[in-house]
Amino acid sequence: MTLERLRERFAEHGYVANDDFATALELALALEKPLLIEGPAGVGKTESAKVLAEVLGTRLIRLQCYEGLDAASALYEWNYQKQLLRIRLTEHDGTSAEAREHEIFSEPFLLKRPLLEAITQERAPVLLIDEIDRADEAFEAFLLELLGEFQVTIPELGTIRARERPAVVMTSNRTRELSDALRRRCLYLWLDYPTREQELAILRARLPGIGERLSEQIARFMEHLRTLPFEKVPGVAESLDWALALMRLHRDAIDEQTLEQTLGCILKVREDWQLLRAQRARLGPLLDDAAAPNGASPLESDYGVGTVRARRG
Amino acid sequence: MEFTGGVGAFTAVLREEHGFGVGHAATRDALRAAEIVGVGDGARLRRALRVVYCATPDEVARFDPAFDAFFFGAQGIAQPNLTSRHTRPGRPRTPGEDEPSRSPRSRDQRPEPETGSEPAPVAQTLPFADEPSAAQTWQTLRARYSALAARSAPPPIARDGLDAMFSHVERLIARVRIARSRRRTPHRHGDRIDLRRTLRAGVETAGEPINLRRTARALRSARFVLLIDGSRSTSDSAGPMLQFAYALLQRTRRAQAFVFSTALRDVTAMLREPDRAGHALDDLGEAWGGGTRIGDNLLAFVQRYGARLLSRDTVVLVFSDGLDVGNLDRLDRAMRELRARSAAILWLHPHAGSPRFVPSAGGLRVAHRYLTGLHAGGEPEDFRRLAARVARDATSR
Repeated sequence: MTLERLRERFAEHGYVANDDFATALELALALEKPLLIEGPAGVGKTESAKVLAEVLGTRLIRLQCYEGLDAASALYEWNYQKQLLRIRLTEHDGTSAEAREHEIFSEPFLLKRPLLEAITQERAPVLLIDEIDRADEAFEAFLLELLGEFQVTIPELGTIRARERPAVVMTSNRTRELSDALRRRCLYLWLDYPTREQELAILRARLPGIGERLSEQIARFMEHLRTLPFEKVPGVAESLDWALALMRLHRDAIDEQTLEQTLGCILKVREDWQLLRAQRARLGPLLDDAAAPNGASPLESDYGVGTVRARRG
Repeated sequence: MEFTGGVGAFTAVLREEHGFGVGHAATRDALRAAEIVGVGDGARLRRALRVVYCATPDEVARFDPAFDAFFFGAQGIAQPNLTSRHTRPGRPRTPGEDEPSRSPRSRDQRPEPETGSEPAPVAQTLPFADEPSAAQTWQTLRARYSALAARSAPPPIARDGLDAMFSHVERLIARVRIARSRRRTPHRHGDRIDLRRTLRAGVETAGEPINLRRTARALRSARFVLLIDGSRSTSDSAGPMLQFAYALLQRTRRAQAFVFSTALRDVTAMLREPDRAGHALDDLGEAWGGGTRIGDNLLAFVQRYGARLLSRDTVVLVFSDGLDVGNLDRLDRAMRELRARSAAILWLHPHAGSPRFVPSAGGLRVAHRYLTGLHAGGEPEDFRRLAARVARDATSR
């Protein structure tokens, strides 16, 4: 799929793909290499894999990594309960021990976990290995082997090779450094916070009903917020949540009171709230154009009734 | 230049001059990528090769200038988006910009005085220091701006108090157990069942495995990385820190030590020599006794040793007074990397034990928000309390 076509298809699904992203994806698909996406939380790393699956019209198989994740949880496990039940049921039917063993270690007794599931699909799926940095180094080494050959060996069944190589997207928030070996097996993309123009495009693509003024104000506000040293810098996910909340509250612009009421949508740490309040003077110009048209102070209470505006004439 | 050969040569340049870990496989992928995106559009080719050659954010930041210098000559082409990529989250604060203190530790300290972005003269930034003589101040100031102005030898590793330092270090190693070993040990709430012990316990219940026994991964001591500022302004106070480093490296293999002034030097091997006590470190060149470039050196450490030494089991101890004459943006970047890639960063300041101490040095102001702890490290006695403090800071994150 060409760069332009990829961008178009992603846009159809409400995902604004910039040049870097589209190029990385184009190459990952063409070279059949895993794509490692790193970047701050909430910039759309996981979402990109979901949209890719929709664009390619294929299944998304997701492996969520966590500390202590091992091959049994990621690759396969034998269904022990089913095996025990089968042993009990066939105890007195004269079947030899070898035949019984052969039967209980066959595919119907195998529980496929995401990685095995991904390489046994008829049609190449999108395999999302999410937050790989949360998994242990031992698991990373195991993954390295799998991603190199796209095959696994199950002692009782033999080697299973991928029918179709899945499109692999790995994401990392950099809570720990990944090994050099794993990085070098992948194509690499750093996904940063969007620019104001990109954010505006994202808001309009994901929330078609949003007003022009509100979307511009949100984009400008978020651009400014990301320059402040917050504990948790708000990402695109927060922008979208905030925009949705403002739309539900029937606000067509942000004033100080609205900002205060909806602060929880964008900042999730108490110290960040304090920092934002300390910066209130600097934020004033961003809220100025949201002042009431009759010149009333934006801090003036509307007693919970909200505002109604209508064009004259 | 023939393109295929050019890409091969570019791989070699990235590897040899810029420290990228790339080889033939990368050249092959780069050629395939060039075939896919075409070579007519330089910006597009650069984007494609960046995806292939880079593996870390740091490499991404260094790639574009290297690409432009190689393919477009020394001048390169315009890179409007180059700086925005990594500077945004850690943007240095503008002068006078107020920010509420966010580190729990910093609440106990005095508010930072309002100063400009330029580093203030030494005498002003060290209100706790005794009034230095004019000659001493001049020498220190010269040392801050010149690597060669005030070269001096590192002090010998004192034998006095070494036994006490060994016991402080042993306590530190024993208390800061945050790394997970692959070895599994019995644990009441472990994540795996220990079949052998469960079966043995089953003997008491007529062979039925009723009482499940579990195992969990054992904890082991953290890895320690010591980054010791040996510049002129701190070298006089570095004696206890060097003794601490020596004691630590004698007691654990999971520790590495570096000194820096205008250059960075790995001194792990020297400090591992058992008979080094009573003797100074060998000539450290520009890594000792010159000016202070904390940001450049910490960044060099991250780039050269980060992949091998930094992990969430690593506790980084930086010994410095924070008087940085280098680029503070680079210090910000280095500290952000260190914070993201380690369990804890503790800053040991030679004068933090003074009741008049204010963390006002330019470098320390930048580094402060990334720290998990700021402690005193100028006196032997400071290291007695360090074990408890490091254990608390490293496990509270």
